[in-house]
Amino acid sequence: MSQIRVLLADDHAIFREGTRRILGEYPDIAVVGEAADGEEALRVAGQVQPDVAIVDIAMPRLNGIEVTRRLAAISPSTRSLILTAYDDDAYIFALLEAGAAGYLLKTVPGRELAEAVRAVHDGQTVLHPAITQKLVERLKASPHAAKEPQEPLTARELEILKLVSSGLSNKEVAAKTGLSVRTVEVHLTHIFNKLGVASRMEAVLHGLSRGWFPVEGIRQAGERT
Amino acid sequence: MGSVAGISVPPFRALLHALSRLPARARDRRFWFIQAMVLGVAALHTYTEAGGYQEPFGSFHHIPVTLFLIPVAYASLHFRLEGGILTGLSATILTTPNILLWHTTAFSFEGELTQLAVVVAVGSLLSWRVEREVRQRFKAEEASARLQVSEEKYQNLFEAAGDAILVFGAAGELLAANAAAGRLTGYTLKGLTAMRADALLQASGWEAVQRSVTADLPKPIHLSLVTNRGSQVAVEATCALVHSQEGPLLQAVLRDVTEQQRQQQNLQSYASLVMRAQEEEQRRIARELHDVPVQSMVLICRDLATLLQSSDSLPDPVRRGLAGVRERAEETLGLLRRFSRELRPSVLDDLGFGPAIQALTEELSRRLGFRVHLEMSGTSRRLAPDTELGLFRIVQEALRNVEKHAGATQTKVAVYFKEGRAGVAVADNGQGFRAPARLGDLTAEGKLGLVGMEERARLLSGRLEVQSAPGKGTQISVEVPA
Ligand SMILES: Nc1ncnc2c1ncn2[C@@H]1O[C@H](COP(=O)(O)OP(=O)(O)OP(=O)(O)O)[C@@H](O)[C@H]1O
Ligand SMILES: [Mg+2]
Repeated sequence: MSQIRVLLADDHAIFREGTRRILGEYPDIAVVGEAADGEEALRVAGQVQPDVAIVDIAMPRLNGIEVTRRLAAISPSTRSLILTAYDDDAYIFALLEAGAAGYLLKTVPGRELAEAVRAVHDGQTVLHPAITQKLVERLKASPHAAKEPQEPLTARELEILKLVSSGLSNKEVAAKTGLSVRTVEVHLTHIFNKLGVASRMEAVLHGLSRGWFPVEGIRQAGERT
Repeated sequence: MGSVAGISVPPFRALLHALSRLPARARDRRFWFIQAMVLGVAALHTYTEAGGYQEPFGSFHHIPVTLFLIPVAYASLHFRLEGGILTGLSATILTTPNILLWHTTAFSFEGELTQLAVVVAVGSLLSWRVEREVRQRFKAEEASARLQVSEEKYQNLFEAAGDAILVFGAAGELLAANAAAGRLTGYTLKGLTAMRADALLQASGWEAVQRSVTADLPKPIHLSLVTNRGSQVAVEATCALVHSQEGPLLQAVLRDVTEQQRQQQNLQSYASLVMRAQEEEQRRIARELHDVPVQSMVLICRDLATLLQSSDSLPDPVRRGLAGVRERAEETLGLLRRFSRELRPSVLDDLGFGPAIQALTEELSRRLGFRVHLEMSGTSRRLAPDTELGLFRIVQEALRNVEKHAGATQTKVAVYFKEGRAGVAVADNGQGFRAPARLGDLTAEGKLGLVGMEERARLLSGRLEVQSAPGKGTQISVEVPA
C-alpha cells in the first residue's frame, strides 16, 4: 500500500514536531517535508510534490490562503488541509475559493487529524464541527441564503448532493445509487452549474443554507465513514 | 440758568413754578433792574394820567405803556419764558388801576387794553423763542460733550487693546492702527498707515474680510498676516463695518493664533503618535499571545483530546476528570483567541475590512442575543492598511459603546464602498445621549472612545458625525477617501 505523502507547513516548530509524531503512528501516512513559512512551503511543495499539504493560516511571509491558492500551479495534485489555531469562520469562503479541501482546528485529537488527511486525500472535504456550526449560522442570516437557484435541482441531483454532504466519495455515491462514477460526476457538474459554485464544499454549504438537509448530516472531522 | 424741564409743563403750572423761583431770582441784580424799569414806567404812566398832563402830550401820552416793552424784552432775554411772562403780568397788574380810574371812555379803555395786549404778546413770543433757542443750544452742547467722552473712551480702548486693531477705508487703504497692530506686524504705526490691505493681508485675505462683514452672521475668520520681515502670522480676525462721516469703514480686530495653532498641531500629531504606538503595542501583544500562550494551549488541548481518545484503559473517574480539564482548557483557549482577536484581528490583515467587520458583527450578535445587521453596498475591496485599520477601529469602538451604553434592541452596521471613497455607519435604537459640542470635552471625564474615533477619522481625512438624543438612539458615521 502506498503511503499518503504529507507536507507540514507551520511556523511553530513544537507544533510541527508534535504533528509529525502523531502522524508517525499511522503507517499509511508519511511526513515528507516541513516548512516554517509560506514561501518555504511553496518551495518544498515544488520539490516533493506531496499528496496533502497541512497548512497553517498565520504564517510569516505568505499566509495559508495565499499558499493554498498558489499550490494549484506549483503542485497540482496536492490537496491542502488548513490546520489553524483560530476558529474564525470568516476565512472559510476565501479558503474554499483558494481551493482548500479541509479546514480543521489544531486542537483535534491525533486520530481525527489522521482521518482528515485520508479523507482529503480521497477527494472529500472536511470541516471542523465548531466551524461548520458558525458557518451555518452565518449562512442562515445572510441575505442571499433564501435565494433559490434559477433552475431547481432534480430529485436525483438533490439525492447525490445529500450523499456528498454526508462525506461519501464519488465512488461510494456511485455504489449507493447504482449509477456509474462517470454519471455521478456529470450530475455533480450540473449541480455546480445550477448553484453557481465551483467545489463540492461550496455546493454542500449552499444546500445547507437553503435548508435542503440538516447540519447533522454533514460529514464532520472525526466521524468514521 | 433756568430749568429746561420747566418748558414742558402746562402753562398754569409753569406760572406757579416761575413764581416759586422768584425768591431765588431776588439775588440777581438784573431782576431788580427789571423791577425798577417796570415801576418807573408805571410811575410815569400814573404821573401823566393822574396829573392830567394828557392834553399837553397830545397823542404822546400813550407812550408810557409802550415803554413796558423795554423791561419785558429785557426779562425775556435774560430769564427766558418765565421772565417774559412774569414781567408782562406785573405790567398788566400795575396798569389795571390806571385803566379803571382814567380810561373811562370806551375808546381810551380799548386803546389802553390793546396796548397792554401787544406788550404781553410781544413778551410771550420773544421769551418763547429765546427759551427754545437756549434749549436747543443746551442739547447740542450736551450731545457734543457725550460724543467727546465716548471718542475718548474708544481712543483709549483702541490704544490700550491687547488685540491688534486695524481700520481700513472701503478701498482698502489703512486709516488707523493701534500699538498692538504695530507689535504684531513689526511695522511702525506711520509705516502701517501708509500700507494697503492687500499688502498686509494678501488679496485673498482682504476679500475674506470684505465678505465676512457682509455676511448675515459675521464670524471670526482666519487670515495670514504678512509682517515687515516677510514672514506670515496666523491670525483670527473679527471684522465689523463701521459707519462714519467719511463713509463706511472696516474695522478688523486681529488675534495672533500662531502659537495656538502650533499647539493644536502638536497635540494632534502627539495624539496620532500615541495612537500608532498603541496599535503597534497591540499588534505586538497579539503576536506574542499567538506565538506562546495560544500555541501551548492548543497543544495541551490536542494532547488531552488525543489522550482521551486513544486510552480505552483509563479508569472512569480519571477519564471524567481529564474530560473536565480538557473542557476548561478549551474555554481558556477561546478566551485567549478572543483577546488576541480584539487586540488585532488577523482577519483584518489577511482578508480586509469587509470580512473583518462581518466577523465582528457576528461575534457581537452571539454575545448580545440579537442580530446585528450588516449592510454592505458597493463592491467590497481592499483599502490602504491604515484606512482599513482606522475604519475597523471606529466600528469596533462604536459597537463597544452600543454594548456598554445603548441598551438597544436593534443595531445596524452599514459599510459602503464608492468610487474613491468608503464609509461606515453604526446605528442603534437604544437610549441615546446628548453629545457635547466638542467631543474633546469627554476626555475630562476619562471617556476616550468617541474622542479616539474622531481622531482616527481626522487622521484619515474624514469627519466623524455623531447623531444622538436621549430616547432617539445613536448614529455614528464617517466617510473617508479610499
Ligand atoms: N451608542 C450609545 N448609546 C448611548 N449612549 C452612548 C452611546 N455611545 C456613547 N454614549 C455615551 O457617550 C459617552 C461617551 O462615550 P465614549 O465612548 O467616549 O466613552 P465611554 O464609553 O464612557 O468610555 P471609554 O470608551 O473610554 O471606555 C458614554 O459614556 C455614553 O454615556
Ligand atoms: Mg466607549
